[in-house]
Amino acid sequence: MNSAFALYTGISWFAVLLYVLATVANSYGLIFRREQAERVGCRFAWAGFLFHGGALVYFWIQAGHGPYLTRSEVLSADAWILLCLFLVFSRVFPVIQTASFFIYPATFLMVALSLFFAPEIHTLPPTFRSVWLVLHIAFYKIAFGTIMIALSLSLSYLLKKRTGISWLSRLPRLETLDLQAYRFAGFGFSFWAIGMLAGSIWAYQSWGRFWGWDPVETWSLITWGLLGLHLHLRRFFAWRGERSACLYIACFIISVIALFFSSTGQSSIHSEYFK
Amino acid sequence: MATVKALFLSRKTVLVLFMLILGTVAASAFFPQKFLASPENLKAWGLEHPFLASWYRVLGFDHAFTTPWFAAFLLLFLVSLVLSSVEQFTIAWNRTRSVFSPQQGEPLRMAGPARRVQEICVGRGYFRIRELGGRSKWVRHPWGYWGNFLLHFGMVVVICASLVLVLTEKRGLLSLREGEVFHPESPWTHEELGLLAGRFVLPFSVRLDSVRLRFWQDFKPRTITSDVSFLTGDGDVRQHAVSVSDKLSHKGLLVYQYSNFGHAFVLEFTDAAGMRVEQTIELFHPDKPHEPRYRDFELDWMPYLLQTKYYADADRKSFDHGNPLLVLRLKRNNEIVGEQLSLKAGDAGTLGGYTVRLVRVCKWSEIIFNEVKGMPIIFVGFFIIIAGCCLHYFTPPRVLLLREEQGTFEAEWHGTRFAECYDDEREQLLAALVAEAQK
Repeated sequence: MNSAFALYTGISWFAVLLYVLATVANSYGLIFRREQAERVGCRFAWAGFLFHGGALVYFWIQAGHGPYLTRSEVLSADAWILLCLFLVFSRVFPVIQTASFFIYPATFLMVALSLFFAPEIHTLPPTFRSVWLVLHIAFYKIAFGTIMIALSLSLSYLLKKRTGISWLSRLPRLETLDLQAYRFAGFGFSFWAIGMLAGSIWAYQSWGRFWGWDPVETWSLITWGLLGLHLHLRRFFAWRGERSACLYIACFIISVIALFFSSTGQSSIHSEYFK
Repeated sequence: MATVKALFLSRKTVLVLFMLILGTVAASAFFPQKFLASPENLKAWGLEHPFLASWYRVLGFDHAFTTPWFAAFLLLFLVSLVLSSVEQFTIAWNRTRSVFSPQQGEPLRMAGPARRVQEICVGRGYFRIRELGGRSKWVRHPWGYWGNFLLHFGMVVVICASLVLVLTEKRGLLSLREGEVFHPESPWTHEELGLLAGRFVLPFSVRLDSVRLRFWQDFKPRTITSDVSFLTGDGDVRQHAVSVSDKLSHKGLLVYQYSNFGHAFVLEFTDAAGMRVEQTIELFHPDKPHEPRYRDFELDWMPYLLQTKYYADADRKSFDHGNPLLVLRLKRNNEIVGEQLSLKAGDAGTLGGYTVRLVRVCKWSEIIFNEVKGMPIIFVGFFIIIAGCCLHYFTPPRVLLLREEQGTFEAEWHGTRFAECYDDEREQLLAALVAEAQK
């Protein structure tokens, strides 16, 4: 098993290196208006994505279950899904490409943090053997990815609006950043709902109760409610621009608490998660 | 009536109700809840936060979700949601059928055969929805009009079905030892009943035949399975196996294997006067073969505190040997009485003034019986919510209005949501129409 960990850790660190190179090249390209550097950054990101994905597949085979138990595997898988979503969405909506300024460093920081929590294999508890659990976790990871993209766009908006940094003029128009952040917040709201509902089905299949006000469930509902509030305020009370971006940052903080901290305090049905 | 309806449909009302409910849920995350925390933890929290403790119980924050005021918020929110869903149905219906543009833009005018124009629209994924008075409406993703309605309607379905479930649910937990029979009229180990549920009486007896456990190499549980027999009065015996994440359905009831299990020890105590008492004690299964589980027992017939610990394996190597070791000790006024006693199945020894024999060792597990109404409707509501979210955010309708008059036509394009994101689509469609007109 030690050699397996060594291989997994080695590939992951190599992916981190590629992500760091992607960040440097991309940031240089954005700041100094070098499109060639941006393209090089994108290629490094793709390379890191492939190596990182390979490491996760290898870990999955060794562990016998998906990357959704320990802190190390959760952070690593979340980073990979985040980058995957960004690479896909930036093809469909090229206007969000500049969010790479935040996405690439977020990816390598998450993977590096995952390796800081030394990887180890935990066996799968009997309650975690369900296809609904896999769907539940997959959709939460996708939701986190879209929420991160929306956060990047909100931060881009605030930076462009509030600072006079010259290279920020290369970012899309403020209205475009605002609209795209809203749209990705909507995606996050939708995927979060699907993740929550898949979790309810899993809970009902496993222990006969689709909602038990478990701390993780409660924080998840708070996050979803807050995202819904953000969308309603924007739609019906014209909370656009800075107000929308600032409220959205608060929603993001709550989502991080829900995903990474809510299982660590009180006793929880999710107690095996993120240990 | 109209005023009441307007009040419930007011966006401010919705916002206030939403924030009240969200605020309550958020508060429950910070205040310990009676149904989640043990009485000892609640007491300890109260001692740590005397100021908060003095008023949080008065306001009901220790059982936030069962307070009358939370129920009132939910009821008002439900009324608002129902009225809103009806209104949104009307809006979606009107938007689907309307052939007029909501925007004051300058339409594109061109000459050309209508048939070819229609082919271009169809080729780009636009469906003709309506034709009226020379105007035709072509929409890409017309189902996107209904996303908002479905999202809110789904929430109504889920809340109403949840209400039915909560009011009528019957849930019972049984803790059984191998060989033990639970009869229908016996009390449950733990029972939860909805307000309108009535008594929960099983139509059959339950016998736990055996508990089968498998462990991973790190000694964590891999599978927990209870072999049970359901016995009816006419002698019918049905044998089933129920495992964690593999529930069982029997006579309209759902049966779940809970994740608690351990060993039960049947002890025979004989005092100096020759009086015999048989006492059964149950302990949770240890986490590792070399780690014991502890539990203290205050027994009515014994003037001592009985302290116990047990190893799942007397050799402390594996969970597969089936040879647990029980260690007993007596305490009185915080002082240990006599020597401790270690027993395996069939062993006997002296403990304080008693002769103790370990008569039998067996496993125990917990099984949940559930009788619920409304669960399938809740799941249908879930899928309606998901459909609504997806339609609203992933398929916003894009509209092309065509007005034909004597060989020329006007084209007007608008998007319902995120219109700016579809500028390319608009440009390409209108360019194709112009190119066709110029042929």
